[in-house]
Amino acid sequence: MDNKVTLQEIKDSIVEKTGDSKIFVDTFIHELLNIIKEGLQRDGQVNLSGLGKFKLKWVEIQNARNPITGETIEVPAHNKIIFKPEKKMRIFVNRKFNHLTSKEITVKKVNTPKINEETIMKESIIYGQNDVPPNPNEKNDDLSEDKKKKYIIPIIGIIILLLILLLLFLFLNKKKDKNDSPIAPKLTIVDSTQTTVDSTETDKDKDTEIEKEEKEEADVSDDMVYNETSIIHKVKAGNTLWSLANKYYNNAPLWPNIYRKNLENVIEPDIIFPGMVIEIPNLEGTGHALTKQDSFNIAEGYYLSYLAYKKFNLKDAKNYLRIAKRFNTTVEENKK
Amino acid sequence: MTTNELITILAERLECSQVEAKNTLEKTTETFKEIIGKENSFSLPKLGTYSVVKRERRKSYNPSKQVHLMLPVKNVLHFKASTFFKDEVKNWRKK
Repeated sequence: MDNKVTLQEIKDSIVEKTGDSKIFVDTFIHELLNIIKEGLQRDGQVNLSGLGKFKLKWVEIQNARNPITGETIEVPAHNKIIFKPEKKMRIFVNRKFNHLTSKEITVKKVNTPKINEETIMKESIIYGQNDVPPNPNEKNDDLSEDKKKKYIIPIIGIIILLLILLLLFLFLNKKKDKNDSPIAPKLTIVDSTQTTVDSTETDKDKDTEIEKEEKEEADVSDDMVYNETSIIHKVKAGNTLWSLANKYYNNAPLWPNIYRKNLENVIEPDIIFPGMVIEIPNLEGTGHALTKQDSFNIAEGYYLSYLAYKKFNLKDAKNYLRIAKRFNTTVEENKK
Repeated sequence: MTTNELITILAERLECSQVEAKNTLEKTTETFKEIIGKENSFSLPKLGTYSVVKRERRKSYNPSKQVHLMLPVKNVLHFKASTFFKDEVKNWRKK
């Protein structure tokens, strides 16, 4: 409000309306304000018809906090002025929005726990009755049986439907792969990823895999070939070095070990493209129990990724150097 | 203190009839109202400032009926007492 209304303007407009002298209006307003104060002091409340109600409120001692410095300050007990506008005044001020009314809203979150509570209560009551008195068991059993029947019929229906669907799926799968037995080799692959398998088994796996790759490239989730030292993985959409490390090592922060081997293909470690062929070196230990050589390799990988990020002027590049140091120190500790 | 008491005291001090005092009081409140309608705020020296404040629409909950409500936008008349008035009032004893 840049155009502030001065007291003089207010007085002038009153003079226009009433036709009294200026001096009279001047003294009138002066006295009015004085009387409001006096009335507050005397009764603690002043009604001014046409405007509202002034009131005094007593506030007890309270602790306040300065939000900037954090100090606690004791605010002494004091009186507080409250002004409540008249109803006419409130309606006048709110004349723009008086036509608006409050509306009911439905909120889902509140309704669900109520139902749960009720059901739990009912169940607990029934169990309680069953435990203590032996005679009225029959009535309660009838009630519970009726309820059970109500529940059991739809549940059985659902189970039958699921079974039918399962059977249908199995039949369809059998029709697709009549020559191969589809489920068994897949399971072996999963095992082979978790534990490094002997060379003879890997050979068999290779053969089956190659056949599969030729037949159904789209259906197999990840195309991979096993060597003794490393796994070769074809990148799919949604893959990251992080996710690959999580998959093959069961420990995502070991991703620089993969990056270290693929410096030529992967320019920035955050970015891999689908269709890329990535070599994933096997660890000497497991993902959670690294050998000295492993941790040294990972430290090297973190250092290389630090260099790569530094090229792209990333602010967080230093963090990778710190992590690399951490992996190196572990090596030193092991040596000691 | 009611308005009638206020008017009698005013009439005594200004040495005029109560009817006159009542008329001028009504006119002053009217002018206040007009100013609020036009300018949204005005201040009375040594007493405080009146201003119109807009309250945005908000969610609320009626615990007795257990109903969630959306309250609409609202304009409210707000009074802020001046520091002079506050300091004066502060140390009056509780009654």
